[in-house]
Amino acid sequence: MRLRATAPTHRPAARGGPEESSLDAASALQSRIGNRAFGDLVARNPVPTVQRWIFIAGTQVGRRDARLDATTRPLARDRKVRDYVDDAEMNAHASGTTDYLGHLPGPTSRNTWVRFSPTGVNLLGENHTQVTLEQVAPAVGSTNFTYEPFSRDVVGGATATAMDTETSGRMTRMGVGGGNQRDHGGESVFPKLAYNMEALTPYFSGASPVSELRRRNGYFGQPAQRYLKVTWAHAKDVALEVAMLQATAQAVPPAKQALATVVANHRAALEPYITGLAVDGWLGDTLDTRRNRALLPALLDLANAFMPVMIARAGADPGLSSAQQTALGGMPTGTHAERGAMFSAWRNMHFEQALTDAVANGVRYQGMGMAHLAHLQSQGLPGGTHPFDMTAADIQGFERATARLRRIAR
Amino acid sequence: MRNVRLDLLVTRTAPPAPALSTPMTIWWLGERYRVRDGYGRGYAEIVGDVTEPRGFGLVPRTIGEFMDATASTPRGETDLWGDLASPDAMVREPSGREWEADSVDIARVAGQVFAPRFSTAPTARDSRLGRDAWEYRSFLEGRDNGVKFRSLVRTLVADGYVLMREVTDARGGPMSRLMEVTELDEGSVTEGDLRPS
Repeated sequence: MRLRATAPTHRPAARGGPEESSLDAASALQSRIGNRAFGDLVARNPVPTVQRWIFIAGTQVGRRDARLDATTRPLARDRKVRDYVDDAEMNAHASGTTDYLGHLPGPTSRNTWVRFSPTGVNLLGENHTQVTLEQVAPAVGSTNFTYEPFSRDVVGGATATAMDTETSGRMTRMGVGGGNQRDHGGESVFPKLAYNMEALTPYFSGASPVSELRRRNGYFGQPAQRYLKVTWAHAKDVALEVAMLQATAQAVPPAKQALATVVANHRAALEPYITGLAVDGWLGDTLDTRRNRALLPALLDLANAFMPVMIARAGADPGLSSAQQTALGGMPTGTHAERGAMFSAWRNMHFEQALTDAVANGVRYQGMGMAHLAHLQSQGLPGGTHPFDMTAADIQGFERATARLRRIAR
Repeated sequence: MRNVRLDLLVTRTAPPAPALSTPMTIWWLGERYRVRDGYGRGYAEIVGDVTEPRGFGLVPRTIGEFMDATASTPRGETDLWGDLASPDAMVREPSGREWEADSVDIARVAGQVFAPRFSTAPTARDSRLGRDAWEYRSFLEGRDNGVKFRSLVRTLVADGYVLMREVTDARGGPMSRLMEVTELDEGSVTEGDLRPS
C-alpha cells in the first residue's frame, strides 16, 4: 500500500478562544459609555449584565438571576468560565475568601478554570516550563505554599544572602516578597549545588566546551550560573567555619579544610567574577571569553573540593531524619552515576520531609516537579493530601471542563 | 485505507543531561491511531516532541529537571489512542491510570510519521528500509529566552513516510532530536492493535 505524501488532516483545535457571539445590548452600552459610567448604571439597575459564563452546579446562571449581586456581578462580565458547586461558593470566591478556585494566567492554559481541594494539602506536580505553582498560587489567591525552587534549609551567612538574591524575584511574583524563603521552602538547595558542580566539572576541565553554557546554545547555563553563585557563597561560609574551628582549637573536617584552602587560594580571582554575575544570566555568556576562561582551573578546584563537603553533608543533613541520613550516608558515590542517584535520593527525602511538615502545619499547596510527586505517591500519600498532575491528566481535565462550558454557554 | 505500523527510535540530546533514547510504536488503521512510548514518558514529554518550537522536544530547563533527566530510568509503557473523527483521545500511563485527553495534540504525535508537503526541492537521495528516499532540509526559526534560534531540520522521506527527522541547532548548540523509523509494516494492523486491552 502506498500513501499520499501528505500529513493526515484532523479537526481544528477545539480549545481555541471562547466561542464569540454577538454582544448584547448591555455590552454595546458598556463600550459606548465607558466602564465607570456603565458600572454606575449597573449599580442602579441589576438587569443589563453581560454574562454567559457562570455555572452553578452545572447550570448556567441567567443574566437576570437574582443570585447575582453587587459582589458577584463583576464576575459575570469578563467572559471567563466560572464553575461553582453552589451559591455560597460563588459568593465566597467573589468576595476573595476562597483559596482553591481561579483562572490560570497563562501563557500555558490561559484562562483555564481550575479547582483544587478546599481542604488539606494540594500537591501539584509540574513541568517547570508549563503550568506551575508560580502561576497557580496567585490565581487561586494563596500565599500558603511551599515550593521546590525555595530552600527549606536552615542556613545563614553568605549562603542565605545568595539564595535570597536568586529567588527574590519569584518570591515577589508569588506574593511573598520580603518573606522568609524557608517558610516556603519545598526542598533543600544542597543536592542541587552538588549536582550543579558535578555537571559543570567537564566544562571546567575542558572536556566539554563552555560555549554550551551560552544562552543561545541551551538551557543549562542559566541554572548553572544561579547555583554556582550559591556554591561560592557556601564555600566562603565553610571557610569562615573552618577559621572559627581553628581559632578555637577544634578539629576541622578534612573536606572542609580542603574547601577552605581552595577559597583562600582563589578568592582574589573568583570573588569578583562570581559575585558580579547577574541574576538569571547564563554562565557561558561571561565565562566563554578569553579573559574568563583563565578562571576554569580555579573553578575546577572549587568543584573538586566542594563535592566531598556535599557528600559529607548528605549523610548528616540536619533537615532529614536520622534514618534518612544513614540511608544517604550508605549510598555509594564513587562514580558519576552513583553520585547522581544519591543526589536524586537526597532530593526526594527532602520532599518527603516537606510533605510531612506541610500536613502538620496546614500548608495548602506544595509544588514540585512531577517526578517528585510520583515519588511521593509511590511512598503512599498521607490522608488529607490531594495530588494534581499539572503536566497531564489534571491540567487536561481542567482545560477540557473549561472548554466544555464555553461551548454550551449561551 | 491507511494501515501501517511503524517502530521508531527517538533520541534527545540536551547536555549535560544524558541522551535519552525512547522506542516508540505508532499504529494507524484508517482514521484511528495508537501511540506507544516504550520508555513510559509522560504525556507532556510525548506531545512536546511535536509541539516545542525549537524542535528538540520538551528538554530540561531547570536544575531540578536536569537532575531528574540524569536520574531517569524507563518507567514502563505509555499508550495513547485516538481517532481523527473524535475530539477525545485516551491516555494510559505506565501506572495503569487512564484518562481522556484532547485528541488534537496526540494526533500530531501519531502523524509525525507522515511527510508534510515541502516547499523546497529535495537536497539528496538516499535509501532507507529498502526504500528510495529523498532528503529535505528546512529550518525552524523564532525567539527563545530572548534570543533568536534557528534549528536545521533534515527529513528523509520515502513513499509518503518520514523515515528520519533530525533537528539540530543551526547555530552550533548541542541540543538535538533524532527520530528514526526502524521498522515499517504496511497492512498488518488489526482491530486488536487499536483496541485498549
